[in-house]
Amino acid sequence: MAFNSIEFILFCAIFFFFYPYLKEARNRRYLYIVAASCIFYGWWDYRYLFLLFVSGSIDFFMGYLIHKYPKRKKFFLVFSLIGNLGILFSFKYLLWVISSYQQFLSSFGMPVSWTVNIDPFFKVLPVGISFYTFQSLCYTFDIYRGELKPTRNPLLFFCYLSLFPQLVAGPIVRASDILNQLEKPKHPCGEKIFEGLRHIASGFFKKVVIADSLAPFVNDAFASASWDHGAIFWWIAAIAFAFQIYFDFAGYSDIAIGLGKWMGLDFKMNFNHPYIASSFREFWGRWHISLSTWFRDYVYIPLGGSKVSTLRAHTNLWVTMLISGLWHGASFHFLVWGGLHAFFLSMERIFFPEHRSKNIYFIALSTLSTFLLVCIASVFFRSSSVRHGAGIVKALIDPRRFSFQEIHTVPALILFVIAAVFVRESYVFVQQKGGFKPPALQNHPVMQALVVALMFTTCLFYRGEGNAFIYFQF
Amino acid sequence: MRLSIFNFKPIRLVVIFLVGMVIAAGWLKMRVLEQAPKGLRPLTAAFWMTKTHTNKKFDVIVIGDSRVYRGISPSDMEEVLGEMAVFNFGYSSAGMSALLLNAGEEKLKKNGKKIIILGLTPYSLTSSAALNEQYKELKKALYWPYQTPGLPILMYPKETAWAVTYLLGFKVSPYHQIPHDNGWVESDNPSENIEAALDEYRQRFAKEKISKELFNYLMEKVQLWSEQGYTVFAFRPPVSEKMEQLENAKSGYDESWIKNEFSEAGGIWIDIENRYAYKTYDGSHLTSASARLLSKYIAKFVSDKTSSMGRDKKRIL
Repeated sequence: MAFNSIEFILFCAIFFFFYPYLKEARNRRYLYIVAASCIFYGWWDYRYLFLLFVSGSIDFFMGYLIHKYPKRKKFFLVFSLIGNLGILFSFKYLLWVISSYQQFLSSFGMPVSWTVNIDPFFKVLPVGISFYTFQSLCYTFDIYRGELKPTRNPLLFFCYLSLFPQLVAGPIVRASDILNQLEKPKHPCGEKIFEGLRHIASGFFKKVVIADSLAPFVNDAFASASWDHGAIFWWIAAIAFAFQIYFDFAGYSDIAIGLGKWMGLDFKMNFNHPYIASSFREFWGRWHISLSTWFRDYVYIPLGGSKVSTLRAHTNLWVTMLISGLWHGASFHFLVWGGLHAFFLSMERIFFPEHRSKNIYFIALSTLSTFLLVCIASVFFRSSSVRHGAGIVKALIDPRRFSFQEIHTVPALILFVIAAVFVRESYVFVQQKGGFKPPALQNHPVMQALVVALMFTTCLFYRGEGNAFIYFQF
Repeated sequence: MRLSIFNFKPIRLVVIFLVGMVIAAGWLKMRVLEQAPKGLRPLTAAFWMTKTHTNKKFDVIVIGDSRVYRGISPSDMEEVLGEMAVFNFGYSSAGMSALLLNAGEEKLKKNGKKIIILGLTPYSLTSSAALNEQYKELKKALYWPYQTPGLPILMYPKETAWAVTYLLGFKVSPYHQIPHDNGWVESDNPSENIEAALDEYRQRFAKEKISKELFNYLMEKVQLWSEQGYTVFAFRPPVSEKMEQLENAKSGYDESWIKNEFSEAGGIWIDIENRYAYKTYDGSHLTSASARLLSKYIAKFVSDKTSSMGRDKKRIL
């Protein structure tokens, strides 16, 4: 069930109508949330629901065993890793590995067609599998590290794992943050409900107005069989995609955070204006925060982080970023995307180890260059293959292909949306980095209500043509 | 959510502002759409939804893709055919799949003349076209909001995009198009360029050719229709000479073979005389004047053929 569907609005109306009545009865409340989450997930394809329960059962029991038998905790952790990553591999990477190997063999004149024999059930990528697998795994990791006590209530555990607001596209919540909240949720007061409403309005606005308006142009540009367009066209397409994916995903996170507030839960911020980052390090502290901190805490730091030799630290960085690339999709172009980010981070660490300048113009220049490099990397994220992405990047940086005439081939509204986003993000930039204080009126309740109503009205009248959330495919 | 939340002032304000803004935006959108020059307005969802969900029945149905919905004027056909009610059942990038053909058949009167006319373009015989994405989307969309007063204004965001573009003074689509209740979209383009569509079709047919399976299915269907008493006609919608050459060379569309197969299946092929005399504005779609001429030509052919068939039947009896 997508947030931007009529079914979901009806689903929410029913869910939140009964939810307050279950405030005191804990187990019934957990059961209610799990059942609602199953309906929410099963609406897409109920056949894949069992994966959530298999993955969760492994971690529920392994978490318990790690706590009970600390001497054998490594064994139980490895068991959990094999179980979870095995499921993820079977449904997300197996087909890619086999078809890549097939291609490799056929390039040596040995054509095989093993993929034909794979059951169609395994050819479908279950929605949100990467998210709930990581969420489930971090429960076991935290118990392994002694940072969390396992719960003995399976209903509470599955309630945490299947929470419908963030089940299919995050933010990835930590058990240590959310189990207590689920046990004793705050009864949402008027203020909290309004705060949730603000997040939901902002999320819908980001998704259906901004991301979905950019989607048709981006889809057409990247679906084009050739890359005959010049640099200006491709820069606009790359920027449009960078904005599309940000607003698509940040929109989903905002809606999830808003729904969480209505349930009396506080999810952490997942995006903090990543495109005003003046370095790649800062970018990753602002982009998909729940995932980047997951990789930092459960991959980068266990590998040794930066407190090892320089070469080793760079290797850890590359390994983490390449895994992050693969997490986004089973394809070589995602690896290139992760590799490019690793390269930029490495270069930054070598040449600009400290970011000390307080000069606003220098920061603005760094922000702009970081943003443009992020756009170049995101071309590989969106492309259909490495070759496709490389062709576009070549067009982006080829000075012979700069022609401002091409701007006329881009629909005026796309340019308008891009310009509006630039203005908005520049405003946030001067606020956060230039010390500009927003007028008090901005936080006045009447003004906030006006903005919420305006966002909903715009969503009603001016929905773009995009559809599913991009991050569903991960 | 319990009603007590409305005691919180900002939430009350949101509701009040929202109602006010929706009314104001709806009114403004309607005004902009009404006041814009008729031909410049976008094709409304209401037009497509009515075309798809209407319960009206007809004697003659013309099925096809955009070359049909822009190129055949039912009212001009009715002028020639007399008492017969004609409907244009064309959709964007439509293909001759069971979905579209059966839906077209359902639009015919049970006791009417039962005439089906197919506009067989090369693209309409490809597997991509057979997906009939536009028709599917329209078919699954809820029709009641379009019939509820006040709601249609919320239903089609493309119109808002158009209205905003127009209001801001940006260039809107160069199409000059007027939708008619009978399914025809009277189209012209002042910035006429008869090579405009060539690239798109070159790309389309570089990816795929006409589908043999789809064509075989179509022939089976034509045979079945003929056996059930329907009179089935087909024609190749005229395009520019360059476009026809491109499609002949790249799409796998062999007109004389298709004509033979179609006739063997029991259909009647309409040869369009002086086909290059019909004027297109992009190489692919006919101008409104040419669409009227073509519609009359087809209607004349159908009228002659059906009356001669009627005479033959009487003679046999």
